[in-house]
Amino acid sequence: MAKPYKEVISEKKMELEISLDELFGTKVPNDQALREAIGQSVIDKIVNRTESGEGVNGRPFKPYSAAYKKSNQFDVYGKSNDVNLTLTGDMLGTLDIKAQSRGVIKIVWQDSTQNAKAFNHHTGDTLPRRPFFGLKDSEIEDIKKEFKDRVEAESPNRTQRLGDLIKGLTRLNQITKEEV
Amino acid sequence: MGVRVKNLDRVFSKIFTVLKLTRNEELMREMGAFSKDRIFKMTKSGKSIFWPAAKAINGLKEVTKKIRKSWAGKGNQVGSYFSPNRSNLTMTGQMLDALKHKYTRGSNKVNIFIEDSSRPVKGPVLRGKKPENLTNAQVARRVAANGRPFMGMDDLGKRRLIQLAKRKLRDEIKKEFK
Repeated sequence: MAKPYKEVISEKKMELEISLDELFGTKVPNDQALREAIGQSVIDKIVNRTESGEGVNGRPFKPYSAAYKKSNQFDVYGKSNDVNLTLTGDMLGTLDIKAQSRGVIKIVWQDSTQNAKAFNHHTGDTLPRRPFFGLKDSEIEDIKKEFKDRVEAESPNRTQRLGDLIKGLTRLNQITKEEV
Repeated sequence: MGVRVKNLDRVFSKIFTVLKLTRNEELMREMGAFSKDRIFKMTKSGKSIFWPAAKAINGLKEVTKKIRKSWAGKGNQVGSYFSPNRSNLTMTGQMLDALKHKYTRGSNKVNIFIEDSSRPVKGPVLRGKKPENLTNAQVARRVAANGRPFMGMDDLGKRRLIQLAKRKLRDEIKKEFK
């Protein structure tokens, strides 16, 4: 199955650029709220699968090394033998929607350290290779099912509440740029 | 008397301004718990997030290592993840165990603080010195003043707080679709 997204995998930039028209096989309404919801669903799929110990190839991750298991951090963060690419939670916890335009969502890490960490896990640069960034075919199907009705529906009457939520998200994106 | 977390109030207040419409207790408590947990675990693993990027906590003097070794060797109480040679602000464990978070309904603030509670286990007293009867908050202030500040939030932690808030907003947007 052809993936409805382009991948950029490098130490400086890990990005999934998802084409919504390609994903749903139709022209998707130009709706920021819908894009936010689909983007979050993509992030949830990647994070939940990774936390459950399964790679994007559908296989379980390679086990942790004995040296890592003996480390103080392993102990403090209460890790077990379950490999879930989560120690402080910073890497998976900062995966975000970077930008959206009509029909396109970009999923990235805005923090360069977390991006490099993700690259290292995904490609096995200096660690055992544990590919996790991307979507499995079944996950793509799940997202299609989840938003099918919404994509096919005509543009809804926007409620004031939804508009306010979007304003809030836009402002939070600005805060991330200004404050952090 | 408490020890307030620096670098965090402004972020909380901005996020909560944005979340006026959706502000809910659950998110605030989640943010408080996250902040407290991050300070606790990073400190226990030997890092301070008082700074924009986490830094290793200043190492221990040789004499301090000896005192810690002797204290633990005598079977006295030591805190979780204690090690005689590693600086992680843990001796008896009472100070970091007194780390709390509190959200007061309607106050638009979450406080993360070291409780001003007493310390039933008295640590080692150096020969010629008088035992001090400090509270946990007083110990925390002294630790910070002596070059090991630990109450704060690094940039990555702030980013994660914003992520928590974004997730909440996006969950609300999803609900609107149902």
